[in-house]
Amino acid sequence: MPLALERVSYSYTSYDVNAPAVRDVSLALEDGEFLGIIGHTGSGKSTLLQLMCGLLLPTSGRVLIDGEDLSQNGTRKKVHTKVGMAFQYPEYQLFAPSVVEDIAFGPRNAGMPAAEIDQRVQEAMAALGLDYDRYAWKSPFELSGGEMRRVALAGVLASNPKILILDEPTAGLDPAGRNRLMQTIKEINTAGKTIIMVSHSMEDIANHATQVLVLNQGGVFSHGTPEQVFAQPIALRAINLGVPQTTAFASDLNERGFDLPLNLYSIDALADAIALQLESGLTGGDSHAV
Amino acid sequence: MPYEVAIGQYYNINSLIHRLDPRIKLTLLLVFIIATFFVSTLPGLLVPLLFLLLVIALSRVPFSTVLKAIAPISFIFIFPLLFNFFFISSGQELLHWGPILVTDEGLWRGFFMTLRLFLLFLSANVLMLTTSSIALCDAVGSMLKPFERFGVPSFEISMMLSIALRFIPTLLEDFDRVRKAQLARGANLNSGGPIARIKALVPLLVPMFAQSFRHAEDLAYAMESRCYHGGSNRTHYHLLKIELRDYLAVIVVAILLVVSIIWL
Repeated sequence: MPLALERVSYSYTSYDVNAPAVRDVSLALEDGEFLGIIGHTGSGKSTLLQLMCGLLLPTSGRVLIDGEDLSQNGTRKKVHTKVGMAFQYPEYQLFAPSVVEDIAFGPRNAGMPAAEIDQRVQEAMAALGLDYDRYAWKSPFELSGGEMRRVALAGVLASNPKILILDEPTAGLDPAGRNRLMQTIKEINTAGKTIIMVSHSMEDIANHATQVLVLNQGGVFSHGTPEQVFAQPIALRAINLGVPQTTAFASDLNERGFDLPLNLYSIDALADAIALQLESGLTGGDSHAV
Repeated sequence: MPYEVAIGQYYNINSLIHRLDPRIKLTLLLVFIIATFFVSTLPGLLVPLLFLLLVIALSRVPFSTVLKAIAPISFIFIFPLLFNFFFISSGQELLHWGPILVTDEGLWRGFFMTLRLFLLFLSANVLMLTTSSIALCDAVGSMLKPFERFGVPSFEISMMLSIALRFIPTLLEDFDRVRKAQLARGANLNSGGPIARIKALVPLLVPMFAQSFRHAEDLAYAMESRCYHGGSNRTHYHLLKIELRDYLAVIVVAILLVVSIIWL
């Protein structure tokens, strides 16, 4: 099991032990899973991510990577080769004179031999859709925002971690950029990496996640498959969270007499379901009023 | 994540001292420090000390808060003590231990220098506690204004000061982010010889510079789009006015200065 959290809590100071940033979170991930984390601003998401990659040690509970407790001395050495973490707007961490040197930073810190570093850099660039000949020796600061983001993500991927933590990877990108990046992330997941992603896009979460964790004020509000978690749109709205647009729409229609399933996350599927209900006259009222 | 930074330790309450004009406070601090340097005897220093205690009382800042702010650098006070204990050889011998000689005069001078240093830090601290950084920037800008005829860009300097102060928390946040991002890629910031450690700073400093330029550019656009074009004929929202309490403060400190020169 690549990642497990056992009753993890974290307080930033000794003063707020009773209102910790993260309170009693437990979860377990299998290889290749995709965990989506959602929660309002300040709900503890960033803190939780930092606990998962060893940047913070829990004040209570355990974080286990491949069964090893992160708080034991020595397990955090080279943890970046097991768990990679990309912060929000990761392009702000770029510093090297060239793209390949920046991407090589992680592997170099891990002490990989030169040949392996080259290989990892090329693989990472390929995974993020960066053409080697075109980008390798450019300065990161010459690139566009979207390109810089891909370079930064390649830099995290290059250490070859089996778990990848992404904090709002599509933040600030235009819709086309968002779609392309989510497609890339999906491909990385399919290739075998375990993904943990914080996102405010319920659609992305619904379409990709195998598990969803909903945080509210540091504690776990809900935890399950997307279908389970998004089945309660009203409860989620009460804690300032939404549901995928299709679910919200279906839920609203259901309040007016429809009986639509809430686990349809594509517009086409929902449209088909609505058409089916209209045809069989299940609305119980004037279908023109809808 | 909220990033709490107390800039200049400003203690935000409303007291007589807080309400004094910041330019007056800055000037009087200087005069006070000069006055303490005119005092030549240890008992004489008690007068400025009492004055300062009175100011602290009027400022309604808890004395413990005032002292806590000095605590981090309190080790400095050891030096004048040690220096005068061991290197003054005139006066009556009190203690002779090998090469170390302590005389009564050495003792007096030691305490004297230490107390004076203490007054210096304490008074500067009181200023910082009772004057917000904005007020200080306004004060500096206003006091530099007469030098404009000599080409000193007083308004630009004042603006630079307040922008720099305003960005301290932001840059601290940026630094925290960059540091964590590089740590998450296995950066080793803590070990290795001096050369290795300096090289380890590059992944921190370059992004900080880049980020600073981004902030500057964004801020410049924001200011320009609100028709900022510099210049000293901008009006102020907060006007600094000298009130009766400021005149009284000047009189009191002037008396202190005269007394220090003539009697103490």
